[in-house]
Amino acid sequence: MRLRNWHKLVLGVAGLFIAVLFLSSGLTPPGPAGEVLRHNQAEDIDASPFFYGDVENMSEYEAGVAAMRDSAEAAAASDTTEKAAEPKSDSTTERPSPKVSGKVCDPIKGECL
Amino acid sequence: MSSGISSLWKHEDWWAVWFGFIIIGLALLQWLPKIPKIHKWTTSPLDAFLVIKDGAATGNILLPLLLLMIGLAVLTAIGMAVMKSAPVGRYVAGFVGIFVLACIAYWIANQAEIKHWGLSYALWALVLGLLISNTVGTPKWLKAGAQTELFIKTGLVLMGAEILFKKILALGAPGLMVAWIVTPIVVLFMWHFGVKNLKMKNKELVIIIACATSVCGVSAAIAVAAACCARKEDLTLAVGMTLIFTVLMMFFMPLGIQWVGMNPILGAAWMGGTIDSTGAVVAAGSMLGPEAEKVAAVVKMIQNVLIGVLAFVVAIYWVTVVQRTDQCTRPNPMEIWYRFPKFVIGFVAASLLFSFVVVPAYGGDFTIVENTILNPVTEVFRSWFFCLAFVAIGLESNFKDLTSRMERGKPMILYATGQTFNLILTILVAWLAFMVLFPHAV
Repeated sequence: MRLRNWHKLVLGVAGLFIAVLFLSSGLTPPGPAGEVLRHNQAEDIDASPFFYGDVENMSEYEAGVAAMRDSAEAAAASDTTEKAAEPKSDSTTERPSPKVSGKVCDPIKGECL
Repeated sequence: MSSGISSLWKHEDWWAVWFGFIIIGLALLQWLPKIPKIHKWTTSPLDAFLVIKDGAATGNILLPLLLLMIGLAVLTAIGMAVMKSAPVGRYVAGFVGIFVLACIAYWIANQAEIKHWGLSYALWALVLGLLISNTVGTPKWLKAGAQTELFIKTGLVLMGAEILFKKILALGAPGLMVAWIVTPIVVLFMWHFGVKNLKMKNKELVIIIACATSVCGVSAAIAVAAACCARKEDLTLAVGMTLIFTVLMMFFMPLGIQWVGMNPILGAAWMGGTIDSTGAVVAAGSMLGPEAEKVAAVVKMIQNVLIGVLAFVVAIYWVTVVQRTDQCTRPNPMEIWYRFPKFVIGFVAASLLFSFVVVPAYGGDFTIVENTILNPVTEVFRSWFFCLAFVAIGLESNFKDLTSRMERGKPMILYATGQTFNLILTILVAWLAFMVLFPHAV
């Protein structure tokens, strides 16, 4: 009985060894199923951390998002300033509609037809 | 269970708090040397144990690893001796065996290609333990070192230091909406579905699967399992399921998002809110571009912070409602206090200490705290304790017990239904947050 159990352990270790060998070989599933894996290999992405503290460049991601938020905020602010600076339309005077690459544009709505 | 003041040195939960805070204290004082980690390796397995600088090996980590093993064995053996929970000599012998198995688990997990697959040390540690326990059986001397609860709880107290509350504002209101509104709703839905609809008897398994699905997989499963005093087999089952589904979601979610032509930021927020582990979120987000990668990682990080709150709420709910229903008695406040898992106090205290004292003391600069205290010390110790815990769980679990807990596939149905609900709710809230309410947030 005990000998049989040791056989099981040897078989299990052999199975584990084969699994590790396969996974560490760099082979990927064919087609779309292996696309993410090939991307991880190309970019050397560690997909194993299960907690954010284990991700090596987490502070870079945070800084990146902070920069994205800053530029989005700045873009929104300049948008508001531009809109405020736009001259108000005079309903009594006719304005020529500017043409942009052959399209007729409404200068107030900013839409081109 | 010992009560009164003596529980401070007789109870495992308190020892986890002491161990955690001893390490945190030494880290704050910067009295600890560099804690060794098994390194990443590609083709030569020995590279995992070498110190490589500028492409050349300058030494190895064998002695530091040995010292770490001795240090952890001595530290935990003091607790074991005072608690009188196991003969110290036998505990130390078992601990050495478990530490060696943990090193092997780390060594497999740190192979470069295996890291690309997203298979963490937790899986390999479990597999190694299960392999021994289900073939030759766990020897008695090894079992004496398998102090799963102590390892998990100490790891969780250390994890508390990494949970910094100010991080929840990293993505502003839309990030909070995706991570903090959806998650509790999914937990409540899955709890209700598991207990009322599926009529699962094992409530601990229901809450572990619910939290692992909705928050962040393995780390949430560990925290909640400890908070509700779940059995090791429940944790093994939940972690196994979450690891398999995480890899599948990492493989197929970004492809689906690209196929339908979804906005990358929306897709990133969706994946950040639904894929269980942070590494898989980063990998999947990276498929959609660098900006999506960052957004996905940060959404996941904000969700990770919920672990502390969830563990606390689950611990309270368990001692006041679930255990009361089971035992048909209404516990008084003192009884609630006695039953309350005390390590949760250490977990929350570490989080509060770092969020509101340590980080402000460093001028509010997370990066300094992370680079000097968290990443080199508490995070490394936490990972070692979790790895030891997963080896111990494997050594104490057997397949017969695991299959008996399957309740005719109900845990799988719970996971699949909960994850589907999570996917639908998260995409709706992410769309509302990032496309409708705050379209210029990022």
